[in-house]
Formats: sequence, C-alpha cells, structure tokens
Amino acid sequence: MTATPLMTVEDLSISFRIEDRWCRAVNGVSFDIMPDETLCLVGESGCGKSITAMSLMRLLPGSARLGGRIGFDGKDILTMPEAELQTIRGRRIAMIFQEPMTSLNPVLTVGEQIAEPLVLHKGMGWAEAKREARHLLDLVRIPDADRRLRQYPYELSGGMRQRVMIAIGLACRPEILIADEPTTALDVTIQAQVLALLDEIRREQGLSIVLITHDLGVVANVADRVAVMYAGDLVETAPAGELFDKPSHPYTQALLRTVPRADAAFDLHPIEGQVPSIQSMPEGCRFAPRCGEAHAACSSPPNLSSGPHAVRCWARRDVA
Amino acid sequence: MAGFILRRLLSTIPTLLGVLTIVFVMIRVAPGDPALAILGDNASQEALDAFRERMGLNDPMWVQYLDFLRGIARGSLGESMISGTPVLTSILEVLPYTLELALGAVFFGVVIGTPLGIMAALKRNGWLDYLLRVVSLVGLSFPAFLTAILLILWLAIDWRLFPVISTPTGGIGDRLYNLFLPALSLGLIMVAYVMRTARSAMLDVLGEDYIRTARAKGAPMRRLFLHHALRNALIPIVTVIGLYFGLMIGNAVLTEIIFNRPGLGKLIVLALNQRDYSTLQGLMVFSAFLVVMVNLLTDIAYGLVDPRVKLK
Repeated sequence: MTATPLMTVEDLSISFRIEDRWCRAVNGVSFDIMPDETLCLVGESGCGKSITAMSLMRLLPGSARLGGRIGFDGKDILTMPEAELQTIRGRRIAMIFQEPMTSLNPVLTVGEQIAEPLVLHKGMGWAEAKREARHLLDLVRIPDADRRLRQYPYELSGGMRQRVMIAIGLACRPEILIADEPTTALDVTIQAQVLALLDEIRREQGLSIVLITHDLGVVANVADRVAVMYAGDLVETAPAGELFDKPSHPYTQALLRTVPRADAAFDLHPIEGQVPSIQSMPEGCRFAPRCGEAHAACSSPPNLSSGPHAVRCWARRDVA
Repeated sequence: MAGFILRRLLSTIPTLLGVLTIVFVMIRVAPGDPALAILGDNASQEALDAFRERMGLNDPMWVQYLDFLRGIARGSLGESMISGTPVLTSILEVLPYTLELALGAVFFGVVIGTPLGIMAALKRNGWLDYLLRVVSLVGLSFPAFLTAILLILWLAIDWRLFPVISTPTGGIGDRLYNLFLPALSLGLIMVAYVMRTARSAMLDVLGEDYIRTARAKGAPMRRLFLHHALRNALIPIVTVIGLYFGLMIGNAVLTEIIFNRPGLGKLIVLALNQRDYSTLQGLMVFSAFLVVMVNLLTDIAYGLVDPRVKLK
C-alpha cells in the first residue's frame, strides 16, 4: 500500500465511569482509513465498535474519557477545539446511524434537514440549499423529490428515512462516511437496497466508508478491508478476501462459523459463552475464556502483529 | 383547520353536558334553602312560597334540570336571584378584567419561565440549575395570595413602584401599569411550572437521536439548542401552559380580591355571600366552558408546533 491514509487511529482507548470506577470499553485500538475504500468494523454487540465509530467524530458524551490519537489532515481529532471540529463534522466526515426512525428531527421538514449541512458549511442560502437537496434525493434514489422535501420524517418509511440520512451525510461530499449499522433496523430487502446504494455512491464519488456491522453477509458483499473487534480489542485486521479465506484469530474463525449456510442445513455453530462485562475484563487475552485453543500464555495480553493481515493471538505468531 | 375546530367543538359537548349535570346536582344538594337565605329568617311563609314558585323550586327535579339545560341551549345562564339581571350580562361585564389578568400571568410565566428552564437544562447540575430548581420549588409551594401580599408590601408599599389597588381603567399604559403587579403575583407559580417543564423537556430532547444527528452535521451549540431541541421541547411546554391557564382562572379569584380588582373572582365571592345560587350556577357553567375553550386552543397550538398533529 503506497497511498497515505485519510485517517489514522492510533492506540484509541475509550473509558466510561461506572460506579466510581473507570472502565475501558475500547482498549488501544489502531487502524487506518485509506482513500476510496470500504472498511468494515465487525464484532458482536457490546464489543465497542459503535463507540469507536462515534469517537472518530468525537460524538461521544462528555462523560467518556478518550485516549490515543485520531490523526486527520495532520491534526488530532481528539484534542481539536470544538469550533474546529464543527467545521469537519458534516463537511469532511459524515455519519449515518443505526436508527433511521429516530435519527431525523420530527418537527423539521426533510428538505430543511438535508439542506442544513449545505447552509452550515457551504455558505449557501436556504433556497439554493433546498435546490441542491433535490439533487441529493435523486442521488439516493428517492422519487418524487419535490414532494418529499416538503414532508416530515413521520410521513416516510424506514428505508426512505435511511436514504434521507445518507443524503444528509453526502450533502457536503465528505471524504469519510461513517455508517453505524445502517441497515440493522430495516427489512432484509431494504437492507440490500441501502447497502447497494452506499456501495454505488462510494464508487461514483470516491469517498471512504467505515461500515460498522455485526452482519458478516454484509461484510462479504461490500468490504475492502475488515477489522474484527472483540471486547474492546482489535483482534484481527485483513483485506476482506483474505479474512474470509484464511481467518486466523480463533474469534474470527468462530464468528465465520456462526453464519448459517444453505448447504449445512440447520447446523448452527454459536460461540459459547458471552462477551465479558466491561466491569470485569479477563486479565490476559480477553477471548481466552471462550477460546478452544487457550493455553498458558493467554493469561497475559497478546499484541497485535504487524502487516496487512494482523492478528492479536499468542497461538498465531507465525501469520502475515 | 375549520373542520378540525368544528370536530373538536362537537367533541366537547359530552364533557360540557357532564359538567352541567354535576353543577346542577351540586347546587341542589348544597345545604341551605335559597328562599330562606335570600328572604331572611323573618320572611313570612307566603313570601317564601311565592319566591319558591317564582324560581321554579317547587317543580320536580327533572323539570328543573330540563329548564336549566333549555336555558343554556338558548345561551342564557339564568337571572340573578338577588338583582334579577341576567347572569351572562354580569359575567361579560367583568370577564375582560379576568382575562386580562390571566393572560398577563401566562405572559410572565412563558417569558420568564421558558428561558430559565432552558438555561437550567443547559447548565445541568451547575450552580444555576440548583439555584433555579430550589427557587422554583419554593415558588410552587408558595400560595398565590401570600405571594401577592408580599409583592404588595415590597413593591407597592415599601418601594412605591406600583399601586396597591389595581384599578383597570384609563389608557393602555395605565391599564398595563395597574395590571403589572397582580399579573406578576399570579404568574409566579406559572413561572415555576413552565420552568420545570421546560427544563425536563429540554433534557429529554437533548438525549434524542436526532440531536446526535444534528451534532454530526456540525451544527453549532446555539443552533442545536434553539433550533433542533427547542421546537421539540415546546410540545410539553404548550401542554402545561394550556393546563395551567384553566387553573389560573380559579387562582385569579384570590388575586382579584387582594388587589381589589373587578373580575370573575369578585363576582363569585359576592354571589357566595349573598347565596345567589343562580349566579353561582351560571359562573360555574361559564368557567367550565372557558376551560374547554382553552383546551381547544391548546390543541390548535399543538398542530402549529408539531407537524405530526394534523389539523385537517
């Protein structure tokens, strides 16, 4: 890889105060976001992928304590003044969320909500921004744009609302679009449409997408690179094809086995046990209690190996 | 819009009918004989009988009830047992003064309460928030008449800024000047209510997903609060204003008496003292009607604030 990354996340850690104790929800995660790629952050619920995504724009509540560095355009997002951050949010990095039903403001028209980032960042007047909003609705394949612009969110279906969210995200032609489980709340058929749309737009506009998902089927369809998270640790990162062909970390392997397959009938393989609670993380490798290959070394935390296919596991020192 | 108002008006009929029945029964079961109360202990049996006959008090209950409803359907609230003037005329004569007072109080409540509530929400758990919460709690637990007396002592007697007796006459400036103190004292509880509602509504709204979306767009704080959050927080605030406006008419009674202002309050007290049952009955019916109208206005206000409430 010769291209320079758009964003460099270095040793990111996120802690929350729970019952007078700081608990680490994300534990020193590092990854790069390259231009023009789809990076998928994968993991079970509660593994820290959503808060990692939110921290890329510093959207977490003030009660969260962040450590490490998020390099963007030579600056650190984590230490940037709020005013400067406001010129980046929505303009150079945009985000769409998991809940299209509640993520749009119920008392503002769709048109106003799409036009807003253009007025905030591009110095457009409202009339001009609304005209541009019309093109954006075309871009996200919402027909009858003129009528839709005047409508309120409650008049739109879930899939339609998520398209509106995408239109808001794309309004200022950002370099990075962060999509936090954008299809989880939608019907399966609508999910496929929305994902196809995101992929298409990425190709047309040449932006990078960070897609947060727990759905490996989605990952297989759209990802260029995959980062697998477990209990706040980044456990494996690799180009998508390689990850599916040669998953290395025992957790990734187990995760891939959980995907139901048509040829395997009803033979499901759940991962036994649960993600450890944020208040009682295991001392060593955080996956060890659920790992079939755990041995003595696993009682101390392994490091992430280097290279394009990196693994955090004592039993996999030889890969990459 | 017109259709919506018409439908809402029609739907108030059962409510009003219920209120009318309750008022009718309450007046009839209240202890005391109106004839005896009005004509006095020394009245002759003939005089008493004649009075009862004239007022229809000898008719069976259901006839009285139907007469009562018939009168209201014709827009008549009956005549005073004492003076014989139509009750509606006496009410309409003093209604503007009470409305003026209630509106003034709502004005103070909204204009002071809303910004304070928003500030408390923005500085949540800061010293300002704590101060405002304590002050509003004190405000709520203070009876309106006590506040009124304290305000008179302080602003009218000690500082001589306002008149002790509020006479609503003269030009608009004079009227507002005379209105200021009574409206403020009546409005202080409203300030406390509106402030608490505005604070909690604002805090609720600030935790919503669409506020996060607005932050992700790069909206500055000011716009986040005043544009994205406030319009949503207005919905519960409007509810409280509507609810309290009805209570306000009741509370106005005491305020009017303390400031010696004409209004429904003085009319009610006079009617009570004179055992003027027909005036009391008319006043109760009229107040109920007023509250129903305020609720209707509140519903219309919802439609203006929240697009999900359709006025069509």
